[in-house]
Amino acid sequence: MLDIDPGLDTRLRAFFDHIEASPPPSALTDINIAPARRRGMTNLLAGLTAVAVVVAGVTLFAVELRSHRSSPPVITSSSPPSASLLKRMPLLGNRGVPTSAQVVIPLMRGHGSVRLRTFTPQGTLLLQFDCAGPGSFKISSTNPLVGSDLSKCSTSAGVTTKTVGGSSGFEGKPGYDGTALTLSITAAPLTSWEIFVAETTTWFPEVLPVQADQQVLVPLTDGTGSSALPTFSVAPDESIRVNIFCNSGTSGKTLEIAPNPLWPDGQQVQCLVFNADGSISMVGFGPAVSQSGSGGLGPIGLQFTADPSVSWEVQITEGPDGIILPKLGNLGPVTQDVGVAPKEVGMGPEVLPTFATNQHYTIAFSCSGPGSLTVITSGVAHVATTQCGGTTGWFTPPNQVPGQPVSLSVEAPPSVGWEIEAVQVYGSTWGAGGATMP
Amino acid sequence: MPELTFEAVAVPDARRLYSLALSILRDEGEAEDAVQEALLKAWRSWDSVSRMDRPTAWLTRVCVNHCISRRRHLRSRGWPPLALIEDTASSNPVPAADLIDIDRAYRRLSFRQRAAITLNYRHGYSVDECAVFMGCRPGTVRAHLARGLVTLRKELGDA
Repeated sequence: MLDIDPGLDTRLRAFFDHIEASPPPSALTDINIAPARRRGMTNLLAGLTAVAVVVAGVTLFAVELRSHRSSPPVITSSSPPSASLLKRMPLLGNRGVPTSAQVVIPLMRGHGSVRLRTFTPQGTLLLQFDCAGPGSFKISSTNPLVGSDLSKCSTSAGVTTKTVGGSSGFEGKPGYDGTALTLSITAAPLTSWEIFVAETTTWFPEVLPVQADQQVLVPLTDGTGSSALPTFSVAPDESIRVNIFCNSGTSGKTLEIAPNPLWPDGQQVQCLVFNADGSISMVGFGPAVSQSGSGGLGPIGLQFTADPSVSWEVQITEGPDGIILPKLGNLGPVTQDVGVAPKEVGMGPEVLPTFATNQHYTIAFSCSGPGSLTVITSGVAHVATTQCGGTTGWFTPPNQVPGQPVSLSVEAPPSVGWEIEAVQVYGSTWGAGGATMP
Repeated sequence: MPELTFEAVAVPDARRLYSLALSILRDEGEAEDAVQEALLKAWRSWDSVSRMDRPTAWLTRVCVNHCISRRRHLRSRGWPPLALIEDTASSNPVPAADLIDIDRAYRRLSFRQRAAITLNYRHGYSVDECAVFMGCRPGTVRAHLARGLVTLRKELGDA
């Protein structure tokens, strides 16, 4: 604790008392999670969650996996027609199967119920499955660690993934106890399915896919121990998104980043730790976001210092922060901002798809990079911002006519990345006329 | 173990995060943005965040990181203005004029110094914990604390 003299202590204490007496804005205290919005967010992140991750704990490296596995299940040779609807697997996230992963159950296809292999998890279990057909589908294990079901398979289900928490297991059931488990599939006879299972001891959280409005400064790179990354520079008025993860197995270690223009004091990243109970400690989880300022930043050469046993991965991009609508009463980013047209992302000038809506709407945008952004709606130009800095802005086009098609285009230098979305206006916060209350 | 939902963990923590951000940034709008940013990131990554043994620690780190990283951005726009403290509770033992002096002195500190003092002095986190939240070494936190204290004493005429 800070060693401080009594006089200053009294004054500082009063000062902080005063600050903490300031009530937070209602947008922060009255957050209501709208189910429709949550689904929307989930859809937006569908690419991110294309990995099924089962944290089974890091245990017993000396145990030979193969000795715990029984013979593979019997797969029928003729599959129902719905098998053609199954997705191509394995995907396991936007990077495919991690190079560190060991295949536990190779890609298998079949239909109906079947018992899969028995094995002892040796780390983070990556589980991916899909099903198609008119009936139900359920995957489970003798150990309740694994369990998921699709009550009705359909082509819209796509590749289904599950994240099963370590010590808490699946849906509140007990976590992994270190014993062997047997996977089973229970499905209707005409339900086709496919499954792929792998595991790794160097798992990292998935990073967000790089969008069209972002530029990659350091591509997704993994390594171990100390290393120097390729040098990069950041353009003026850019937002920098840094994802750095490190994994030190069961012992807590750090990854040190030497002082550099991005972090003048350097950085210390706390590595993921796999606890004995199967849970993960991830205080150092990214991403970190910073701004390059009007002069840009660079050249930047990140120097990592870490124990050889530490594995890490890094990805650095620049681009808009994304559309976040704050300070709008109860219409914050996790409440009820409903798009009336799909969000568009890109760089430089572009003609966007025409949309029509019966709702009163506003145009929300986020942009970054050197230059200005002008949005043209139905022939009327709106200078969205003369200096992009990554933050969100918005404007409400006048004279809106319900149902009338709205053309949308963007004028910006090629170096400016942008995100634009037409968002429904609620209440009176954004002005009267046509507003529809939820 | 009950499911750690975003609504049950992150939302109730908004008030604490707001006080923390307001202490560092000394701007209500910017503090609100910082909390919104932390909540949005938590929302987007809740599958991962909810599996941490201390989700609120992660929220704290994201919020502090956002506050610290605002430095360059805000300075390029001529921020911050020096706002006066107008309302002082009668129970506060320090006169309003003195609070204004402290506020003026406090604003002379860098965001990193403010973060270190807020986390360590006000919230009681150890130097090692502060280092995790601020993404730096413990020695750097100690330096921020020492320099911040020197500045405060100098500005307040206690040096």
